Amino acid sequence: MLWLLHVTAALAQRPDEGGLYAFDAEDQLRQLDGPAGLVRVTYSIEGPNVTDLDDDDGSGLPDFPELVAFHAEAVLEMYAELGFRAPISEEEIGEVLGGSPAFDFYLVDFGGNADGQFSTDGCDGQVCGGFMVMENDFQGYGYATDEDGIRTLTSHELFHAVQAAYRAGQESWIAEGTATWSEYQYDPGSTDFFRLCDALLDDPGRSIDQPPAGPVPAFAYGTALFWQFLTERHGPAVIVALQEAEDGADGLEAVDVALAQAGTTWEAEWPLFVSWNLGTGGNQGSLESYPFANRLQSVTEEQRGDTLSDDNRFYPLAATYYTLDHPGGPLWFATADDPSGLQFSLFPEVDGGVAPAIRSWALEAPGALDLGEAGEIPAGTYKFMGTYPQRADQSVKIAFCVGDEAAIAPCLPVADSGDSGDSGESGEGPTGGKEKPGGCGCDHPGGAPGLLALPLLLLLRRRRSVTAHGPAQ
Amino acid sequence: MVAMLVAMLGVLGCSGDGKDSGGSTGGTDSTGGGTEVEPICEQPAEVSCQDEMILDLSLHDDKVSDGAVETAEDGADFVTTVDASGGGYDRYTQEPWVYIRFTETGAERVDIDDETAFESMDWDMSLRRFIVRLNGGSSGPSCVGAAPLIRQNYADISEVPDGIPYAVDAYYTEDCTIINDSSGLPGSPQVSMSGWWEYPGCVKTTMTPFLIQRADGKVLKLVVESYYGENQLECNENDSTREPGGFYILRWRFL
Repeated sequence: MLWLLHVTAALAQRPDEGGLYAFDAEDQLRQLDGPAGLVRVTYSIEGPNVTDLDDDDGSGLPDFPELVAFHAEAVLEMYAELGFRAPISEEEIGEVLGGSPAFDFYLVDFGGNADGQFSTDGCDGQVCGGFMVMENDFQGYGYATDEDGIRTLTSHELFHAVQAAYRAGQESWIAEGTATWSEYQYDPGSTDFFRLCDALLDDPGRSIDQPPAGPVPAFAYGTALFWQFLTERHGPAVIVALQEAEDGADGLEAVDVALAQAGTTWEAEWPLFVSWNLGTGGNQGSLESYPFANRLQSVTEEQRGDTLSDDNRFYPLAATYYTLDHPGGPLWFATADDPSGLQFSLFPEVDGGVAPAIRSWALEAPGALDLGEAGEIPAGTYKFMGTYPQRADQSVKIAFCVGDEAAIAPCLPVADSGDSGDSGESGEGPTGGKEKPGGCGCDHPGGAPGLLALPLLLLLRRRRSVTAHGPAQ
Repeated sequence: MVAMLVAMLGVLGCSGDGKDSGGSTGGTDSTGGGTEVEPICEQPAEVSCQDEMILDLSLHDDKVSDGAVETAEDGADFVTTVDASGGGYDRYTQEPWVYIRFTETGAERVDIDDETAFESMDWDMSLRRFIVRLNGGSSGPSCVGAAPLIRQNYADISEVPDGIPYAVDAYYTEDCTIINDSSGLPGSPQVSMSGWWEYPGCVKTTMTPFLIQRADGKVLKLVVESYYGENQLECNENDSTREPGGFYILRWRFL
């Protein structure tokens, strides 16, 4: 259970000098070096910040700081193998602190307020070096074992030190998300990683680069799921590329660069990412998803019903999910608002799990779409997903309906009065050259996109007829 | 932080120049009843930056808070408890804000969702975790404003000072970039009531009293006595606590 971990960009006092989390004058301090000499751990053997002094291996030294040194060095070696820069050393910033050039860990009592943080000693431009302060014994924290906590803390916090070798103070969704991603790289069984990824699945309608306000934006940590998605698709090199890009850009622009280097785009990756997110937890089925999908929760849904009707803001790089209990028969999607840029998909539920989409579409204008192509959609449970798979400054807010013809009536575009009675549409086929009420880019098996325009036009014509003749009819 | 806050707010919403209740509590009527004051605003204004605010403040359009709001009388004061915990520090973004209005008989919850609140003048204050918004400016369509009285104690305030300026929430720039307060906490907006707390490691109450002017012109004095329910002292004395937050105790009365 990672508690309020964060990178502190401001230059900080070391815990043996003072500061918010510091040793006390009564603490008796000792130091321990890791086997490879990469890490030095400073801890207290007596005093307010005394560490867990158990020595089960009989080495003559407490196991807790030994494990910190062991895992920290293993994590640093993993980063090197993946191709990341090493943390900036004290020598590179012109000082040797903590008594050696090794990377310093300090074990102090955080009192439940946090369990660790990376702080900076000095910077050269945007690149900074620093040290780690870590909880001294994890008493009162939720980790299964001390070693579980140590694995989590070392793999998360040291990645902040790696980030600082490219750019200190990266946007929180990248800084915390990739640090949480690092936990999984080091320990594929990391319960902390899965728990934090759930924060994204809990709030899927939020733009990935817009964590909420507040001191503990769990969502920012949860973006680890996106970084792991990219890793599953393109390998860890994409995260290395992201950090390299942070050298000259930040935030979404850095991701643009990393995606380009991987030969892909937001538009290619995002719809697949939010589709994978639908296949987690209790929704796990034949829909492609993560190898650890069963360790995650199901994505939070906006609404469930035998028809759907919602007035929703679709934020860029986010997705909204619904469950439709379709009674069987015709099934339509309609909106009177401009849905340009949005993509929708309908997934059937098969044997209790979600199966690949049977229909995906995008409308370029207000309109209605027959999802059954003039046929019937079998009765059953379906997942409906809408997403805005691109960078944008504003959300797209639309009111839409999904259901039979009666259910979508409130969402149909209202025809201009000048149109009434002048159909001029009777000769129009699916590819008729006249302006269509709803242009459609559709991806569905067994037919060309234009075929869907026919029932759409028929439906609109019927509505116009009603309008023309007035309520008395 | 409070002094800086007053300087930074800059945007003054409503002025009390002659429109406030001026301490005319009418003898024994300590809840402001019976005093005629001019309304500050009567029609809702368009709230800008809604798109950004929904994300920044985690607003919801399909949930209404059921956080308990209870008011008791304590002498001439009302003491209102508000459960604005939002389900805890790791859940609150999934929960709606609590909306309340101050009435002659105490504070009561207004059961509306966050997006409906963009168009409603029925509420005066909205709370979730450590952020307290007022219905005006960036936060809502009304004109409820606040004035911190940083050099006074709540108990010593018996009337509304002449010409006191009330600030409405103003935490967005013209291009809808959020303006954070000086707490150092990420994404903590510069609301007009930011000065009730500081963050040395927990949410510590400053006991700064505020005058709050409602849309109808009536003014009340208010102090946030606690954020951790009955257990605020641990935080205030130790700068640290493991108590669950978001359990407000508000002391207030009309002037």
